[in-house]
Amino acid sequence: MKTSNVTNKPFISATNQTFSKNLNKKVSFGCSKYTTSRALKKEISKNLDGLPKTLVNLGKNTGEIMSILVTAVGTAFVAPLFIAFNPLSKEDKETTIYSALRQPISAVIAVATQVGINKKFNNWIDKLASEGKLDKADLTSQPQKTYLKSIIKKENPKITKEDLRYEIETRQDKAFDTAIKKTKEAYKNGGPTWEELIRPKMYKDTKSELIKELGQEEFKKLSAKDANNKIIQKAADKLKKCFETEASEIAKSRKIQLEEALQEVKIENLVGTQIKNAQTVLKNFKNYAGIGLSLAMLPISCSLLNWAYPRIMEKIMPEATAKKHLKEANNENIS
Amino acid sequence: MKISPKIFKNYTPSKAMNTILNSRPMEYLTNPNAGAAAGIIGVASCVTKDAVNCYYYVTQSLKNKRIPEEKRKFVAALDLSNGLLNVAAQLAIGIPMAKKSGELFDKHVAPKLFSDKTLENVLNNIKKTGSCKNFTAEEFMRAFKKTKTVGKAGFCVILPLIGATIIAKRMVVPFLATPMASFFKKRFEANENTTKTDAQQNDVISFKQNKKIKKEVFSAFASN
Repeated sequence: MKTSNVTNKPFISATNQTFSKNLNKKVSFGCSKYTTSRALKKEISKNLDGLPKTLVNLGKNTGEIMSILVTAVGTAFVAPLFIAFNPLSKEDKETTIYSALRQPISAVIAVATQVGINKKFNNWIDKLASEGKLDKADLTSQPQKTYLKSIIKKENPKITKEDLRYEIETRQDKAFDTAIKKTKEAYKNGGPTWEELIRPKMYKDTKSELIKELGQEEFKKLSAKDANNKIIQKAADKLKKCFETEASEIAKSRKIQLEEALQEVKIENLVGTQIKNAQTVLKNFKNYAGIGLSLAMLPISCSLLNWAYPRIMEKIMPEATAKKHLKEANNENIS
Repeated sequence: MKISPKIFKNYTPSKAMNTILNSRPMEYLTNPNAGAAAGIIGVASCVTKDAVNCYYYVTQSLKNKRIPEEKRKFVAALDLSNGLLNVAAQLAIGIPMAKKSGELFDKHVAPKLFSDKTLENVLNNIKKTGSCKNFTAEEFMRAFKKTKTVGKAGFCVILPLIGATIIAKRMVVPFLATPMASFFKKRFEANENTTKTDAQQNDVISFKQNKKIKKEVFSAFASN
């Protein structure tokens, strides 16, 4: 069994009872070591099943492709039923079925064109980010799965699914370790400041805590600069307390100086924060670029549908097509 | 004016992507602090595509020579009203769903799907397989909560998407569109008959009358 790369911290053998009791309490923030948290999240996702697993998978894959696929499901399976069995429609059965069949054809064309281009674009953007070519979404310390997958498959086309997954995780861990080493060198003289370690979500949470403490009125009286300083100070205090506990455990288990351990924790969290931010920027960018790409593909998919639909219908429903042509010809003559 | 090839020298696609990512609007949209909720982006994506599609249909109907000229405006007005109905229904159902989905998940979905029992099962499985060993109780719970948050993100995206693209677009709109189309048809035919009688009397349809028909079609559409 290939095990995940987690810290050497001793496992606190808490009973399931303790876990359950504590689950609904608010868990204190950000004390987990980045690698531990990452490994645990992977394992938890793997061990879920049924609907929770589906929701987690959906959550990991939100974006334009999901929008296209959900729309396609509606177009292919729901729309034809509602067109064919619409009690308000006065058209004959053959005509409604003829019209209803346009929907699945349209869905297939939309998926083929829009998903195709979005997937290619996303893979390309993942490649750029993983190679460090995007300033704001530099993911050299956490290369994207799609990028690693394509590289590994080129190197070893016959690799099994399990080995591929293991290889991806190993390379991601290696890249993360390299980033840690580089950051350590960059911060040789003094570690990162506490301010650098505050994540956006933590800043927001601390701000609302401060508002609760001071009251809305009092908070509003503060100048923007003062309020910002207070939030940063408060968040930094929380981080300090949290990281020092973590560092003292590491210092004890590995018999190193507390300062050295604290520096390690700070650097790992800094790299983790940078990865998280870069991933968020990349995901948001893919979402908006995806909408643009789908819009650009619309004229192509529309023309393709107009070309394909009559040809397919001629083969599936030749009689209805002939009837439709006759009806159109009559209409033209009348008008 | 000739564009000097020097401008494009060393201007690789990755540099182009950087320029886009560093642009003001993208900086605002992709900022981790200011990113819009994924559910709203999903609905916005579907609505934008439908709005553009509606524009194509309307312009195509107006230029379609297979439709008799006097009926083109009517067909285009129908396409336009159908498109607007599509957009309005998706916004009316999708956006409130996107806003309420988080609350719905916390109150009704999470207690059932991400319950203490699920947590126990997952923990037992991890312990049994031994795939992940050195972690504390708090770290496990924090990771479980984070996984739950990913599940919540999935729920908050899929629910408004189903609401907008399946319920609104494919169930509600077809039912509203059919009576709307017959209403337009009746109004248009009534107008056409009146104009035809006038035309027979005057032997020719004047330019002014033609304009009147178009005006009536659009006023019928606008009043709905």
